[in-house]
Amino acid sequence: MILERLTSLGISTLASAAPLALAALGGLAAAASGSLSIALEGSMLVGAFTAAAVGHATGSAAAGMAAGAFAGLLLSLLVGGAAVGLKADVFVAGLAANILAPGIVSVASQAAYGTKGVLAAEALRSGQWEIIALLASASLALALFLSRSVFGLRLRVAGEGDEIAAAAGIRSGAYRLAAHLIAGAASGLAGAALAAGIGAYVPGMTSGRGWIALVAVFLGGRRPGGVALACLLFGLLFALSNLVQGFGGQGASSGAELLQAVPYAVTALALVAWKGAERRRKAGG
Amino acid sequence: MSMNWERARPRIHALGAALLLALLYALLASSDPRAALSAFFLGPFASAYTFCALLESSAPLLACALGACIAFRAGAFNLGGEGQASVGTLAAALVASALGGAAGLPPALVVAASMLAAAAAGSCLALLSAEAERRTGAQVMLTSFLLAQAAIIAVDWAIGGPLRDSSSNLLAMPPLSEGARLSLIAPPSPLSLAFPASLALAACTVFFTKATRLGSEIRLRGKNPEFALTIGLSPRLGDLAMCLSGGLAGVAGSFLVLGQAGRAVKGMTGGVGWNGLAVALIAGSDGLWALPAALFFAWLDAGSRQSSILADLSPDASSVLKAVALFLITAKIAGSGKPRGSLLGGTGAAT
Amino acid sequence: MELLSASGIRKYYRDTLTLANDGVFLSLIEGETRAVVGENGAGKSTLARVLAGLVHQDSGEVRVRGRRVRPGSVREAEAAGIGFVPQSSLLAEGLTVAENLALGREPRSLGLFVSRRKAYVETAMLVERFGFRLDPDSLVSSLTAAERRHAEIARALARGGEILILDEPTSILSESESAKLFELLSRLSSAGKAILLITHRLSEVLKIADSVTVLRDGRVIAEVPADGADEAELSSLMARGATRPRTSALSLAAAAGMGACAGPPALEIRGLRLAAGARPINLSVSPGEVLAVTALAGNGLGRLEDFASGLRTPDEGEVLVGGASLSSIPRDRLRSELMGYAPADRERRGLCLPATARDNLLALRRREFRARDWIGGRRRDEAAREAAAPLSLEAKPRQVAASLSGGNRQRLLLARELDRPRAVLVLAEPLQGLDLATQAEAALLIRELAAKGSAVLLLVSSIEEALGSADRVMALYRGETAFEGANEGSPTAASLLAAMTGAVA
Repeated sequence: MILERLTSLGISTLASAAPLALAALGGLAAAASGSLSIALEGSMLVGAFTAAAVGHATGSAAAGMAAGAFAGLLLSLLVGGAAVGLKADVFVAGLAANILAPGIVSVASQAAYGTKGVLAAEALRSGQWEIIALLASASLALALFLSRSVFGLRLRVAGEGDEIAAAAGIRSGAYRLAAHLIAGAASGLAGAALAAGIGAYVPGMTSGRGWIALVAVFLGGRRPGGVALACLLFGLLFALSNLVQGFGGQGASSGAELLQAVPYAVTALALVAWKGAERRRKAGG
Repeated sequence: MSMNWERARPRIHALGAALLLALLYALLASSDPRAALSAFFLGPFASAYTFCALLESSAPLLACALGACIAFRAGAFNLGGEGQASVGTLAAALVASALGGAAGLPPALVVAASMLAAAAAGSCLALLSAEAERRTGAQVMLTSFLLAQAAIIAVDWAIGGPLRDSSSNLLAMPPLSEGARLSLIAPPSPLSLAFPASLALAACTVFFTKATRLGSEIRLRGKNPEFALTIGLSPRLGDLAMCLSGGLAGVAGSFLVLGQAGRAVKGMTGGVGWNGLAVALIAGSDGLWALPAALFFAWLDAGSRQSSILADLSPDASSVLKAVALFLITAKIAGSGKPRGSLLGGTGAAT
Repeated sequence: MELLSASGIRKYYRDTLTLANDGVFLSLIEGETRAVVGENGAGKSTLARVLAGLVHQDSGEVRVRGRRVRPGSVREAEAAGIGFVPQSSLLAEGLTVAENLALGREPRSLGLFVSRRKAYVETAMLVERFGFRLDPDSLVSSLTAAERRHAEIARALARGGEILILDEPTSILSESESAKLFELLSRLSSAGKAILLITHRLSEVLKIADSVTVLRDGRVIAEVPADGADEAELSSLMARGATRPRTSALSLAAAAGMGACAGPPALEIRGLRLAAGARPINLSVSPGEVLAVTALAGNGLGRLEDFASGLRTPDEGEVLVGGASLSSIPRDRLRSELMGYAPADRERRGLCLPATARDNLLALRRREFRARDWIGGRRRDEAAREAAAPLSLEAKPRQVAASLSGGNRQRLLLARELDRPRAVLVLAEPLQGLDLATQAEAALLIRELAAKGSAVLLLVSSIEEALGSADRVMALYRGETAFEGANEGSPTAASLLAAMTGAVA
């Protein structure tokens, strides 16, 4: 009984952590290039919707997932293009993308299906293990790519500053744009996986996961391993709050719904604690 | 001085482009473009009722935008406006229903106390982030969002759960008594005292940021925090700005509860915090510009709503248009060769 | 055979209104080590950056083995065999030495990945061949200043550099580290590399260089072989005019001063530790006294500035102003009434560049204004004009500070901080970026304030400035006091430099 519970908690942790990790590694690419990826949340949302729409239309889960990643990439192209090409403030461009995402999804949904509510896509629904395996391998590949490839190395140099990059003959702007695209595609795929998990798109289904992924980038010390670990921790939080909710979820006023707030509050606390420790370490050393 | 043509032009261009896009959308997506167009652009002005509704809906938006303006001026990226407004709705509803029941209290006092409670609730939430950043360096941008998200869930739970009016089908708290609400100005339209109150807040904000020492100190901090410390400005200026910012968002929440709705409804903030942020960015963090920008956004919202009722368009078209305006304005300002960061802190030449 | 030639190099910097290079010519043959010497601001660094492709010259051309190098392109310069070692490191901090050396031509495995083994081997071979003191696997962020120099040189060589340009390579090195660096350079020279050494330390030059180019005010004043060149002769060539106007202006200012007054110190520092493991320092400045503290970069001057200005609170030791602990005084009161502070980091700390000249000038006088002044601003304009007058700052009150030249920015900073005799003045590099006439004006103003009772703590990296304007002089080496004494002829520039570089402790 207890063992069963633990296993299901473990699986549920992995299922929550995997999309976070992929999106966070995308965010890491942007951070490593010296930019900020506020738009992870937006990319996840358009990824989820596009995956459901394409999955519904084609009847293919694979096509849905690919389309989700592509949609995330398109959104991040707006942000990266504005920031790198037009020298716009990356923060404002990212916010605009986050405002754009739910709007454009709703408009598209209204135009195509006459509803702005839930969009069922049974064809997209995939097994839990399939999704975890897909996301985990994508995360691993991305982590490896960032830390070991020639591209990843140059990306990190771009993140050290334009002058240093220029001295090494590296065009930092191009790498920064590429990093935004990677972030968009990764979080688009992560969003698609959310939709695949339940076989439907539900408005607001990302509910701040893109932001938690962004926090994981900072908490993980900007290293792939650390970022993945932070995501596992947040995944555990989500799993725990779901589990406890399952125990007491009979009455509407039982407070089970309140538990959904815990991951966000704890994430904020973790960030504060980590930053505090970092500051103390610096002051001491 | 700050409202000169140089600064106005890119903003007017961006807003104009958003309208053009709305035109295109109505033409392409609607089966009856004429009806859609007239509903979108003229619908909000078609009757006194709809126009008053537009004004009323601009009040909470303006309050949130003013809050965002102050935070941005101080260089604090307060992304928690939505949650600060949300706790504001709960606080206002609780105080208004508690005091509204008590006999003998003048309505003005009840309303004022409710609004103050909402402001205090929003302030406290924002202050947590500001203090965390001052003490540990945890970015306000992240903590304000996360705390707001947690607060929204908690408020939604409270309104839909223990505090819910069980006699109603709505997920809402019991309606407030007439004396505990902001009076309606032009019944039967929803226009209430919230609108003039928001104008007064705008005037106060503009005065504070442009005509006081503290306002100028906040601006210096926003432009260069290290310089602010060097010349001896208090490190707590960021706290003050966040406190005001969260307070204004909280007041926006009280407008929602005490005005049109007359009760706290689950999820009633409906993006007012994010929209306020966008308004502030389009206004270049300038309180003077926040008023027209907020009215413009309210118009877009009302237009989309009208065109979704009277024609077959999406009510969420307005958020696409807002996002486009935001994208354009960052690009515009970058394109005009001015120093960066002018969206957030106001251009250096101002005041 | 002539390897490198530059002719007619001209470069004008619009934002600081300086003509940095005015028709500079230069040539370098195989195996030659040439030194380019000149005072600060003579145009040495600009020349080096033009040769390296980091700065696009307005006119003139650079040729390597007779072929013209496209101006303003680092890649072209590198392809032609020019390797540049900048004054401040341009290595990527988060990468290892081997990775930094491999950048741009990374050895690959599987086509996509960096082969760390190959990168290590390539670097190790280079290290072995020329005797660098480097571990290819260590992170750049963990290297010492001397190791960074070595890594920069190794990087230039790894990119096929036949011509090495070194910009002030010893500026932050100790004597023994410098000596080791010169050994390395002579090994490189005997391996056939041509070396261009940019420096203002003449004694070094004569030890290692074959020939010397002297720059002054952006022009080549002389070209001489190092053999038989005389140090005194060279330094008189470097100096603008026969006697040094800067020094004389400062000494004039010093003579006008009243000298130190007796009395309790206005600023006192006790038991302050500037670096981990260093002996704590003590100092005190009395009203009317000017104490100059000097040190080479990285030896604690910056930390002392942070503590003396109260921006950092020390864990160990204390800083007292008028007998009260600095941390107990409200910062607003401290800065508006008790302490004038001109930071060395003018752009980030000292000024608010996006704000107007007026806001910058009046930043310490905010309490003097009312609502109608903040709105209308005419009274603030007038106050700003008055404040700008003593240092003849040329700026409109509502001009954005970022649009001012370096010299005017420094005037702006000093005009704010020197507007009244505050009890303590902490002035870090107060004369940076000023022309000679304004330097004299500013020095005089500082002296006047001291005469009116201010205790002045000067933090300067230039020995000349320290000796030129102070009553007492103190030198730091590695965060410790290496010299302290009255400025009455006994500490010469040479002896002070010896103390600063650890030659005498």
